[in-house]
Amino acid sequence: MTSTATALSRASRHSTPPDRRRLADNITGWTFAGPATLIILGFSLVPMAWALALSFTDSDLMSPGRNVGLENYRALVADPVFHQALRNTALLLLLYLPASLAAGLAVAVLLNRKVRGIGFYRTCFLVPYVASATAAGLLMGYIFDRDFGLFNGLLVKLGLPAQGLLSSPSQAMLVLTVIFFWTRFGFSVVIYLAALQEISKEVVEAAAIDGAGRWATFRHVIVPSVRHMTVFLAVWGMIDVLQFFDLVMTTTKGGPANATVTIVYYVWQLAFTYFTAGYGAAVAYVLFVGTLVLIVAGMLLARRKGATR
Amino acid sequence: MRRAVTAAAAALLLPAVLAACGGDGTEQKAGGPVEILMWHGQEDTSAKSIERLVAEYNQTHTDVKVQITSGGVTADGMLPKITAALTSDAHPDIAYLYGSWAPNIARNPKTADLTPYIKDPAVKWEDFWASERATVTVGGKIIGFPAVVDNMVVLYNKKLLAKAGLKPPSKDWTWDDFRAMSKRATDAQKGIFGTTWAISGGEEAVWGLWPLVWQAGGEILTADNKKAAFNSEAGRRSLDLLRSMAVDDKSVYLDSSPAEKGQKLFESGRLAFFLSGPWVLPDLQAAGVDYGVVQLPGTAGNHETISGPDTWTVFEHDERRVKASAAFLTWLTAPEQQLRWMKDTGSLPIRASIAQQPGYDAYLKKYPGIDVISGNLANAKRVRPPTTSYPRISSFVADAIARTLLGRADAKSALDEAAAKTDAALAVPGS
Repeated sequence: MTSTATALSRASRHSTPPDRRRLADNITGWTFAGPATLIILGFSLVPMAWALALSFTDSDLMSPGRNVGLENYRALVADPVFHQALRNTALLLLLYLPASLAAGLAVAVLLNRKVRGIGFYRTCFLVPYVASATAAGLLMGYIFDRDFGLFNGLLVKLGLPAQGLLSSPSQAMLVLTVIFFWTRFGFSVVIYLAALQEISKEVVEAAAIDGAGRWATFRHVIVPSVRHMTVFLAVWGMIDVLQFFDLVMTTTKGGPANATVTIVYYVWQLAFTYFTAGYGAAVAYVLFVGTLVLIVAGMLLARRKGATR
Repeated sequence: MRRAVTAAAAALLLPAVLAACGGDGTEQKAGGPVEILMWHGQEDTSAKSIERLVAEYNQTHTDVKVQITSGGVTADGMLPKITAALTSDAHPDIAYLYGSWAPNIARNPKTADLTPYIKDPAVKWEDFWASERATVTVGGKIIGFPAVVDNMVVLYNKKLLAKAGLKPPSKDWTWDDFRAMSKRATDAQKGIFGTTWAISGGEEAVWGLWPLVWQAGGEILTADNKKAAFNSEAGRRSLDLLRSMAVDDKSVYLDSSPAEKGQKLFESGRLAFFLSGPWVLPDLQAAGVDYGVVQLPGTAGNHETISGPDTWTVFEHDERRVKASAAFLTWLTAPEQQLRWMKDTGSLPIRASIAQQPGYDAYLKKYPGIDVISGNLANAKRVRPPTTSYPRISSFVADAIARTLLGRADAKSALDEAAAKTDAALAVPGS
């Protein structure tokens, strides 16, 4: 308060035009930025602070809850379901991320040419990404059903043994990874496609003149040119995986036997079905810090690689 | 410096802005009728039915005005919604909530206590079924009115049974009959199963096991709700029966999807038996299934079933509004209004005297089989333990059921493991 007062009095004492204009500019600026600032504060920072406070209590969101200090975080260390959720999410990350980057680039290269109906092909790859996860989940739930699904029907027709798929604790997470890949990798394709179209023809032609074959051009011209997009997609994909929730909700609800519980799904279960919101907030915070560390590490790695090149 | 001050000012403003965004939209005018807000959580036919009833109440009553919305969610999603509303003080006066949530909901200080109001003779409290009254009574506090009651029965596909050369089950059938008939009706080549069981991680996988356990003389928890009791001999034998059906006979379709697929399979003639409740009857009629209804198989003549009453839970704003809510719910749950709701939705009578209403016969005729389910209310004797940890315990048992039915564990070790986790969860103070 005092500093505003001094600022104001200073402004009135030396009422030189630039000072007054600066104040006017400031007010105008804050009038524009104010609503957005309020929204960011209200919908991100305040809930984050509240969740942090919650993670030190045993609140069930119904009654006030007691302060339990670090008890929730200590319990995490020994919680087998949390460990399983970590493993499931890590498996998804390891399988999905490289696959989506490689397949995304490969498909983008295929789609980056002038042939008849290219617009249609490009649309085909983007449609799953635009489709709602709920619809995709329900549809895929039917396709990968153990007893009535199309997929097992196809296997049997080909003379192969039917698989457990979504009903099998050892296969369910793999099936979910496939579904997740199908719904998300269209995004990598679009981003890579945009990047490929930015590569100037001269560079590719120069490589050809230097005697580079198709593979060498791809390896030494195209891949480095889209490197920034690769970093972006890796970070984006990582966040996507760590936030994975909707398909779990619509295909398996974390089952069978916790085989498909992901971290965010577990947070939801803890907070809204088991009435342990304080513990859920602690899990959410571990996820938050973990995500931050992974992203910063990934960015640093990418920057260092960029520097040595 | 100035920037920091502005930011601080913005932060100070924030609660006011948020408060303006919240609120339940029923600002009270002094002197006028008391306005209350109700979240009904119903869909389609049931939503229309309750909206008609409320419109009629508002026309015929001048002292209370009821605003009604679904609450923006279905009954399944009501818990997160009400939790958020209670946190931000934007809660309705009445909400439709599952009975299994009652112990947790009752912990919130904003949950009303209706004890003084239900003493009004007009309420006829004793006319409600005992299991319903038990559900809304938590620690001596009455948090709401019964809304809907149901119980578990067996639905069977008449055509599939006839095709397998089986007669429809009689009401004194046993679990061994159930197993044998399911096996006989299964035709793997044609994709036809005897029955289905959920193996997703939720309560839908678990509640069907409890009647078996109860019939065999077992319990879910010990009498003081401090330790698991479901891993007794009764529990082990119950789960083992299901295991032999799923693993040895392969007569059970294991449903890993969130709940609904089993019903769809029954509707499309792929299941001979389906354990479910009255709420599926309108759908079965719409699908044109030739179905029959029979009470659960028994153990030594005991056909005990499970029931899950839903509630109209009341939340406090001020005393006037709680009183108005109680008055409205007294009207809504009276036999005349209930019979109209039952005719629209196919739900069961929530109080004994409804059967004496003129027009009750027309209701029975409209929903073939509803008389069996209604009569089965007498077999609903016990409720799931009213402890705040039940949802967690249910997830441990769901896990045990899934692993056993998939052949990954035997009934005894799976239940023992779930019991150990349950004991640990119950040992937490305040649970």
